[in-house]
Amino acid sequence: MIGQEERNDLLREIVNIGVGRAAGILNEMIQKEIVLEVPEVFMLTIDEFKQRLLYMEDLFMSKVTLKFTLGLEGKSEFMLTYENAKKITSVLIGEDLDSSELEIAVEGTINELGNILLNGLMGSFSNILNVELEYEVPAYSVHKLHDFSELSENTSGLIVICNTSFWINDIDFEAKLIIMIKKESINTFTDRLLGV
Amino acid sequence: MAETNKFLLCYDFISYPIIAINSGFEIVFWNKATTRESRISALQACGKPIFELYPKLDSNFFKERIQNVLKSGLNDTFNPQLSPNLFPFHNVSGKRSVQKVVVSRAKIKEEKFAIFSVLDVYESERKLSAYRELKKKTEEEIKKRKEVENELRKYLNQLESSNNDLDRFAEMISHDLRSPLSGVGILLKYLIDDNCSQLPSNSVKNIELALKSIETMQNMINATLEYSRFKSNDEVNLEQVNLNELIDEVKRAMNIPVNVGISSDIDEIPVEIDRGRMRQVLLNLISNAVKYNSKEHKYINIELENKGNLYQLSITDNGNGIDESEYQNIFSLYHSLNRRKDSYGIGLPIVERLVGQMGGSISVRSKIGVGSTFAISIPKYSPSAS
Repeated sequence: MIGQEERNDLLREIVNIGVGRAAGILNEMIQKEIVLEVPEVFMLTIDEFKQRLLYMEDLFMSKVTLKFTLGLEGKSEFMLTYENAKKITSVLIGEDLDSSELEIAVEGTINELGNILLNGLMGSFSNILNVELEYEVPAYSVHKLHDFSELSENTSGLIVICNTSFWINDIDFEAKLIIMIKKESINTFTDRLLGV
Repeated sequence: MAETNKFLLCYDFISYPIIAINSGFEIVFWNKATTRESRISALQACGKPIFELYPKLDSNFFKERIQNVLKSGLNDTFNPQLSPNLFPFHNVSGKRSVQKVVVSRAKIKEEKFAIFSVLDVYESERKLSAYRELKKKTEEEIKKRKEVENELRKYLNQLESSNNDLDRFAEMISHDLRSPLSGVGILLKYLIDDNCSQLPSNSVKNIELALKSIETMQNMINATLEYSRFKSNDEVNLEQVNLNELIDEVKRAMNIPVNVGISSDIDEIPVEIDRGRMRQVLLNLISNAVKYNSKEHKYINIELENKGNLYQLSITDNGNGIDESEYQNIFSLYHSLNRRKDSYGIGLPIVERLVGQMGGSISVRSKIGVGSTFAISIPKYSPSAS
């Protein structure tokens, strides 16, 4: 049986592999220097997660959601404040922060950026845990955090949170990569984790 | 192969372009919508590597992402912002399409295919762009309006404060002038009474002229004090008032001469108005109608009309009339049309002030030698409530 520290180390490794791969793709694609770091990975219940994010519940958040089923049921999310989403978009596509074009570009840019990151993360996750997953097409949305209805529906699930830092052209952005495991899949997830 | 074709043929019924490639990046399916938008037939396209037709995809990052889709089944999206113009298609209206490409995996038996769904987001981007532009303009407009409102409120406060200061100043000056002026008047009277026989008649005449001037000045001071008495910050007190009774009360208070006929055409139904203010308005207007009429038989008619949200009270006389050029001036303070010693240009400014305090307005129509009508419009609700 692995302890909490080992479990977190393992999760950190899964995330680092996935995110590292995504960073490689992004670097080549955007032709800007992108550094991605995942300084923190931890596992929480959804109630604990909500408590931790209380301070940002009134902020508008941009998120890309990738639902998965089959071997495990849940979803992964790339989430950042809408303000940060605008800033990243501005750096990536070179539009001015006040431009109305930028507002339009946020959805497409964050959707693709989030998609690349989540694909990297989930590829590594399913590979290392040796679980076959089926995925939906990633969807972009903007909400206030307390409007995330799924959180209240599914209070007994587990959440893996990865606090992520980006540096694009030396500008720093904070974002979160999240994997939510539905309560029905918690046992499978734990077994798989132990089996690694 | 036949089974694969049968499966992929279903995509022919989809209205947007769909391209399928195998794990060797070779095109294996090309639906009708792709033919329409690319102007390349399925026959020309199938069997070729996708990079031959669309060289933009021939880069490591796209290849890696497509391979990832094939391997893991994770869908990927190429958006116009970060991955523009991958497929130079033209939509049905002939415009170059703005594409969002979703790449997903189809597994038929053991073979895996990457399916490119090319969605034209030009129309939705255009609508979104128009919506954002409108939203931005509306926000700017609201911001500007708020700034103007704040500016206006600031000026109104300043104006109100200046008015209050002016009222206080007028009240103070008038009050402080009254006592010494009355003292000068009394002393001058004593001077005449005690020395009437000794003073030259010319000097007596001059002192009498000075006394008349003092009286005029005292009347003006009293009028100014009267005007400043009607302060704008006094609350409007609405009550049910029978206007006929109020007119009778005013008539009794004025001691109307016998050659003046006052008639009124007003229902007995009470109206909700500020009784005190309306009494003063009637008093001033009826008094003016009597005063500025040199005809032998003087008539005054008072009418009340219900006009939607307003009461309109009209006071018509057969007096001397007012020239049209004076319509605005008569409501200015100290502007008198007559040289009468009891006319100080205070009555109508007081009326205008009182009507304004009730949320209403006053206007005049007149003809020299025929008469005048003063029309007062007052809202049927409390100005403070509105």
